[in-house]
Amino acid sequence: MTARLLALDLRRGPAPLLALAMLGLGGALVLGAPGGCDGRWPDAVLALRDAGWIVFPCVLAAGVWRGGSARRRQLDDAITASPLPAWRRSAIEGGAIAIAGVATFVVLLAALTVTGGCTSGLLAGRPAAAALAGVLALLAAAFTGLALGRFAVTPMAAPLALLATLAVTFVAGGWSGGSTDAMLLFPAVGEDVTPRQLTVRISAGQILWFAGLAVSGWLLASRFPARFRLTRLVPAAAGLAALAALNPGAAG
Amino acid sequence: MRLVTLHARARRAGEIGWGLLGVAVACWALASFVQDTGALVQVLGPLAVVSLLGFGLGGDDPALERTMPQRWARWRAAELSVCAIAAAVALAPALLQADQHALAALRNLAGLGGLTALGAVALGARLAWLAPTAWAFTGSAVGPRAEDWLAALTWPAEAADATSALVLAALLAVIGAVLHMRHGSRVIPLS
Repeated sequence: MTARLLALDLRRGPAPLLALAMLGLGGALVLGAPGGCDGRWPDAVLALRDAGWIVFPCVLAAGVWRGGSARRRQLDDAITASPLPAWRRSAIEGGAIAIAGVATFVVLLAALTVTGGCTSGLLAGRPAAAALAGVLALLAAAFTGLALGRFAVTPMAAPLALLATLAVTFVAGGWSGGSTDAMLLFPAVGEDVTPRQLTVRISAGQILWFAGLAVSGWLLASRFPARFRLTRLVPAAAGLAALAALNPGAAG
Repeated sequence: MRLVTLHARARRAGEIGWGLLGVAVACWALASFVQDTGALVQVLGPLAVVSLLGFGLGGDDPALERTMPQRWARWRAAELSVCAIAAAVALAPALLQADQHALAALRNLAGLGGLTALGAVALGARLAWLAPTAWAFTGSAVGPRAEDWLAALTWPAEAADATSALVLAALLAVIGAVLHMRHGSRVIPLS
C-alpha cells in the first residue's frame, strides 16, 4: 500500500515539476558552466554541490507546498480519520519530494561525469562523502519544507520560504562577504572553495547535520493537525552539535 | 465602496499587505547592511514582491466570480495598477539605498510582473509565482551574457543598459497585462 501511495504521490504531487525544474536549473548551472570539471570527479561533485544554492530552496519550497496541500484542500479532517498513520503519510509525502530531488542530483552528477569525462578520482572517499552530504541536504530540504508547510497558514509560504532560504544562503555565504563557516549549514559550498578544502571531516559533520534536520522535519510533519513539540527538534540540535564538534570553526 | 472592500478581501489584500511590508523591510535591511547586494536587490527583491502579488490576481473561486455581471477587464486593469503601485512602494526603500541597481530592478519588476500575470492566466493565481521564479532563476544561473540574443533571454541578470533585456521585459509586461485583463486567472480549484 505504501509503495502504491508513493507512486501516486510521485505522479500527482509536485515531484515531477520539481524534478523538471531541478534538471533545467541544475543542468544550466552545472553543464553550462565554462571550464567544466577538467576530467576530475571531485570537481564535478563540487560543481553540483555549489548548485545547491538554487536547488536546495527549490526542494524546500516543493516540500512546503506539499505540506500545506491538505489544509488548502480542506482535507485535514479526512486525513485525520484515515487509518494510515500520520508518520507514514509524512514519510510518503516527503519521500516523493526527496526522491525527485535525489534522483535529479544523481542524474546530473552522472551526466556531468559522462559528458565531461570526469573520471579521475571517481568515487574517491572525500568527494563521495561530499556527494552524500549533498544528497542528504536534499532529503533534509524535503522534510523540513514539509514540516514548514504543515505549520504555515498561508499558501504564500512556499514562495516566501524559497526566497528567504535563497537570501539567507547569499548573506551567509562567501558571495556577500559572509563567513564560509556559516556555509557549512547549507549544501552550497561557496565559490572560493576547492575540492581539497572539502575534507571528510567537514562532509561527516554536514551529513550528521542534514540527517538530523531531515529526521526533525519528518517528526514535526508527522502530526495532523500540526502541533509544535520542542523535543522533535532534538535530532536537528544533535546534528548541529556534531557539525560544530567536528568543525570547531563553525561553532564560532 | 463595499464592493471594493469585499473584492480586496477576496484577493487577500491584508495578507499580501503584511507580506509586502515584511519583504520591504527585509530588502531594505539587505540593501543597507550587506555587501555586494546586486543580485539581491535586482532579482530577489522584485521576485519576492511579484510572487506575493500574484496571489492577489485571483480569488478562491474564480468560476463563481465570473458569474457576476461585472466588467471584469476593468476590474483586472485596476487590480494590476494597484499591484504595480504596491510593488513600487514596497521596493522603494531598498532601491533608494542601492540606487545603482534601481533601473535594473524596475525593469525586472515590470518583466517579472508580466510573467506573474501570464502565470496566473496559465496556472491560476496560487501558482502564478512559478513563472517569474523559473525565469529569474534560470536567467541568474546562465546570465549575464555578452551575446545580444542571449542577453534578451537572461534579462533578469543583465545590467540596466542592456537594450535587448529591456525590450523583452517590457514586452512580457505588456503581454502579461493584456492577457490577464482579457482572460483573468485560470480556474484550478485544487492547487
